[in-house]
Amino acid sequence: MTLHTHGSSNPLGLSSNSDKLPMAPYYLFKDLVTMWVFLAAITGIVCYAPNLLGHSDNYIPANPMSTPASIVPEWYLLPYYAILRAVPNKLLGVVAMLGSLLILLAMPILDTSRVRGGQFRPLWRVAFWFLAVDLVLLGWLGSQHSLPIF
Amino acid sequence: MYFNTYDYTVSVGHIDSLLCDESHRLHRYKTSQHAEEPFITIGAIASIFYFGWYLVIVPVVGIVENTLSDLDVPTADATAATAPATTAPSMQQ
Repeated sequence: MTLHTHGSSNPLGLSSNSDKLPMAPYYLFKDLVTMWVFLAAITGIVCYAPNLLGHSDNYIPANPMSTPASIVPEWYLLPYYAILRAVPNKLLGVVAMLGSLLILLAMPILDTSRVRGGQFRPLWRVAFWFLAVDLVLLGWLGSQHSLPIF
Repeated sequence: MYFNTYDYTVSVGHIDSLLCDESHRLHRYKTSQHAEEPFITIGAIASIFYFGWYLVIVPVVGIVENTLSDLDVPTADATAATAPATTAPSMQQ
């Protein structure tokens, strides 16, 4: 609904209805370059270093008599795992973890600024880095006492 | 610290020795490390800040920046250049 009313945004926060290029062929061939680079990278990993992105724990066979000591979420889930663990109550912890993502749906209401985008909003740019640092901190906390590497 | 010997590049031949001894010691150590005190407090503060950022900082920053752009007080030497801007209607969304 918001997308259909206001259209897509862009880094400048300005209206982009004035000057547009067709998708084909300009953006198709532009994206092809990225696609070939990506394919070359993933082919190199698959053929020459298949363990590069793996985890040594995956080589330990499953043992029903030994419960793993802790959960090891993927890195992109670590901030939300940290939020889940930050709340002592288990139900409220789940609510907080879901709420941390669902709160994004409230951003059209919470964002009171008339200017779209952060290019011309110095305070917003500072505030953004506070959130970025907070997410990195939460991700680090989520990885504590869970990963077997120190 | 035996953890230094536990690296990611474990070859298949090492798995058995790792299974029998190393991983059990490792698991005992890890379970003893759960929920240490400084991390609980930091986690609570960081989580509160995460929600506070959305619920408080985002609306306040928007209002402050709207207000600052409405004020748009021209300085003495730039009065000639910015004077029309103060009387122009403010940009609506």
